[in-house]
Amino acid sequence: MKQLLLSILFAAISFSSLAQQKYTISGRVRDQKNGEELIGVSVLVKELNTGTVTNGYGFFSITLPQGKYTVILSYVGFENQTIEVDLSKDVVLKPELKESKIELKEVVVKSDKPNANVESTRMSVVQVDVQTLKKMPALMGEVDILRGLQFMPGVQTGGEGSTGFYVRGGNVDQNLILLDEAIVYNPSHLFGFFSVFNSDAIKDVELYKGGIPAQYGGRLSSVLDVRMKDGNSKRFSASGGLGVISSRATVEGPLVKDKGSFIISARRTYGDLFLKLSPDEEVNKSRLYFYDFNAKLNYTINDNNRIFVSGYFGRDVLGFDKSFSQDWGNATGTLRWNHIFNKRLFSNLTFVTSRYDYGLEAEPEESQGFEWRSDMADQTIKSDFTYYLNPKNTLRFGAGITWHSIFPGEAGPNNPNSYINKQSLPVSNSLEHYYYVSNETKVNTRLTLDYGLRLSVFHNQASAWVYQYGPNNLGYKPDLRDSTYYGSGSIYNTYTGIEPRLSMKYSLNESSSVKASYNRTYQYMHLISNTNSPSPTDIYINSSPNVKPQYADQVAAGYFRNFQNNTLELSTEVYYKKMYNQVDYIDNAYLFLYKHIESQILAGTGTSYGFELMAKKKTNKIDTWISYTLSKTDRKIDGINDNKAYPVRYDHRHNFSAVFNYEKSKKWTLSANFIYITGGAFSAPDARYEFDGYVVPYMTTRNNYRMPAYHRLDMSATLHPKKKSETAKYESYWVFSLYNVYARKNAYSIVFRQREGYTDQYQAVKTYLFTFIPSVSWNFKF
Amino acid sequence: MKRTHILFSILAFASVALFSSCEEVIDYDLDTAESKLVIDGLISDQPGPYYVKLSLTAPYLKNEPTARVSGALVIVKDDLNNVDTLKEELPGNYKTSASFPQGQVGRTYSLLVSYKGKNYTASGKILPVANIDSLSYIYRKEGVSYPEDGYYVTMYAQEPAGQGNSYRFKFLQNGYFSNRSDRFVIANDEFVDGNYITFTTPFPVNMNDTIVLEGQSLTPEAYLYYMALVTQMNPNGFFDSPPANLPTNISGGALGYFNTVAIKYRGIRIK
Repeated sequence: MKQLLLSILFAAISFSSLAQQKYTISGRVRDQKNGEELIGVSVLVKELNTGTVTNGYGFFSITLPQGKYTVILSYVGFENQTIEVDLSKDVVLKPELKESKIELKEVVVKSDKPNANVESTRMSVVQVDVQTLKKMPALMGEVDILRGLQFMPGVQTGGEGSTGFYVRGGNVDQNLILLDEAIVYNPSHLFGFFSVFNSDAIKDVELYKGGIPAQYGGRLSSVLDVRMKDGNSKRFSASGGLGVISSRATVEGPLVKDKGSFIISARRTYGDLFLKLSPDEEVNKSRLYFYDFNAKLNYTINDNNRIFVSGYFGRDVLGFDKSFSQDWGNATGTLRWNHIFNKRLFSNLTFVTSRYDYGLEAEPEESQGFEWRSDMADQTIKSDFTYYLNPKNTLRFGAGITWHSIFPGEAGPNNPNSYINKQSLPVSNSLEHYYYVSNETKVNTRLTLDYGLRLSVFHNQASAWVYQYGPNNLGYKPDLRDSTYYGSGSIYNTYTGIEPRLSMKYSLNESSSVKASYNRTYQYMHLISNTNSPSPTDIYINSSPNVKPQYADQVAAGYFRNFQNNTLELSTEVYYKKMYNQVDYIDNAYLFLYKHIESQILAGTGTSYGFELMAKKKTNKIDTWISYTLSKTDRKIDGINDNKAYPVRYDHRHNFSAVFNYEKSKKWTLSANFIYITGGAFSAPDARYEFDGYVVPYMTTRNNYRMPAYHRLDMSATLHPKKKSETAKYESYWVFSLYNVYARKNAYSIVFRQREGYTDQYQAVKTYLFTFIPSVSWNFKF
Repeated sequence: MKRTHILFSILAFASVALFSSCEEVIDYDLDTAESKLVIDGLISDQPGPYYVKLSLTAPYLKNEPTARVSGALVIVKDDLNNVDTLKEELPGNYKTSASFPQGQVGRTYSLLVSYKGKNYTASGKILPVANIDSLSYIYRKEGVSYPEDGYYVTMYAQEPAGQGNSYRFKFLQNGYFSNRSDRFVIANDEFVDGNYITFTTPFPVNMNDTIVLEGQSLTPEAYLYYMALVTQMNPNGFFDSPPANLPTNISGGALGYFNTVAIKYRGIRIK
């Protein structure tokens, strides 16, 4: 299989002009100020009008015939740098780009290649600029990259205040969320109100909604690639801030000047400190906080070898008096070795570990006291290569293996007097390995193709009981037909996925292009949640003999055009996505620590299609965009909803948002954003009946009604007090935010019930979480 | 699930009162589904008569009681072939005759309802229920597990060994039964199989009150039905499951449940 793939790939590559002597220009592009490597810098060879962009490690390589060349490096927010190269041997560059001073009355984006939007083969990619995000109004002043994504086309929100996101009809578990290449299973704090990403520690965020490159896999709908900062390699610096609910601190600096650096960033909420002040004993004994800890080290051994170590640790703790407590958190670790074999072959060897765990404890002093723990962990080894074959072809290939272990939980007594029995579910182990190869080829000046193939293989590993179920499963009552035990270590089930990936770009002219992509993706994990919100207790299960892997096919096409000297970007895309083996739970499913959980779910197909539009205007004063999504997503699962298709809860027909940032003066930046989303689907009763004195709702179909539309306006103002002097290291700024300016009572949920105290009156009751929320944060840097 | 709501309110407070979920009554248009027959029947091991109530579904937001169903044929039978045709005592309320033998643990009962040319059937077995050994009470201050100051009654019982027992507890306060959702309690032995268990009422009572605790045995199917009913009492909450229809044991397309239970009582007076 792999042989065949490689030969097809190589056959497609044109080995033109082999006779001429060729040399390679390569190097890493850094930020002059702090030594951070810059991702996605455009590297243009003026004479040939060809170029490349730097990879995730700031590295680029381009191989050209012998000659004299002008290389122009350009990057948004930085001054262009022009380097003259006399290419008569391989050349290694170590360029450092200088941040453009906004004070200089020049247009920031002014370079030969600012039209990456039009030029790049990539489509369906959303980039979140952390610096822009910091100026935008934020809920309670907490800058949140996940919430920032919700102002982008094709991304639906998980509800008021939620950082949960749904990409092009895919569920939350279908997002591959990577923090320095480690999977983050639960990206939220405080039940989704805040994400685990501390914006101070984040360098770069990219979301792939489609045209997913072959090096990414394991999730169906999107890839959110979050990279931590490397740390300032020039000098020590510290930054931080105080907000309404949390404070942050970051220190960074060189380990060995220009050789290595570190960054440590921490954040903690302090709502619980206020709790202690309460005179109410119940309240002041309660605990409620979360914290995050990010750290990263990198060391350059020599020009060809570099090591990175990064880690994240975060935790939420929630306790109510002595009688109830909950805690959960993620931990990830990444060890990477960048190795440049030669000027054209860049490689990355990565070890990743990721863990999510959850615990709950009730009544530690009472006879009904119990505790519950569950966790899941991953270990990955992978190797990725980029081979800069010639200016026309860039090959990427690699392989990896991941060990997954999911421990669904153990519940038992937490004190000697407890009458609770211990119950435990077995660990579910699996092994996933993959191989990929892709080639980005510039067929001619107009057409660029990026095609590749990924092969993924999944094994369930014993020991395990495998149950066989009939068709008549009920909540807590499986239709059990047979069971088989597989002894320790054996592989008892295997799935294979062949995942073609293709993106293409055709330039119509300098300022417009059309693009298209197709990808198939496989996912061997399934989130089983029947709660209305993402909850720490949400359960992941492995694919198994009963649960087939999910896979999806997506096609997308788009038209991209820049106007007004590339200061106005327009992107439009349409997509169609078909998702297979999508699971949903049966009516009244029982999911709590249940060994027959596989009997409580059914699988079917999901369909999503839509139109997305984004228009972005960026000048030195104004950074603004509007985003619009028209989409439809539904599921059809035999055995649910009378086998008829039904909309998913996050099926919002229209989703419009507008973001506006205006730098009024050196001192003040003003921002506003507005969002309008038509209501998602929910289940509501078409009738009621009486049973044993209780009122019972009756629904004819699942998700048969719509929530009212959601809309909200937020505003903020950022104040940069005048620095002591131009060269002063110390600077600070204030952000004043208003969330939901016109205090709309957006419905979080709607319930139907008997009016309290009346037996013959019935009501629809809306719950809303927030109205108008002001907040302020103070941030510093030196 | 109740507890998580309390937690959420604490969460609310903790975030410097910025999280504050509020409720508001709104206008909402709901469709009217075609009305369906609802059957609510119960056979217990206590002396009869036993009742089967028939009614119809109603539009949810229409402020009127559900319609009673009169003129149906209602027949109850046990597995010893004792057959009884129930008499309509009040509109929609059908009663077994005095000759129908008292329900017994281990017996299986079936129900046939014939209405407007359609037949609906159900059956269930009366499973044994554990003895309530004793009750005690203690005065508690308001706290996490205690919604208000007051006397809380604790029950002591031996849960019989063998997985799969399910129970419902009902409370009669001074002879009065309340259908408030915080007094709706069901339990199963999943985590307490074969243990000596205690259970404290989730609500307080007053000095001089008489409390009778009624323990019912539920079939596993009835437990699922009641579990779904509990979920319905507070759908769309933060950690709750989205609403779904209750799983009935009645075939033929009717809603409701035909329940068969054994009952044990024990009472105490607060003094």
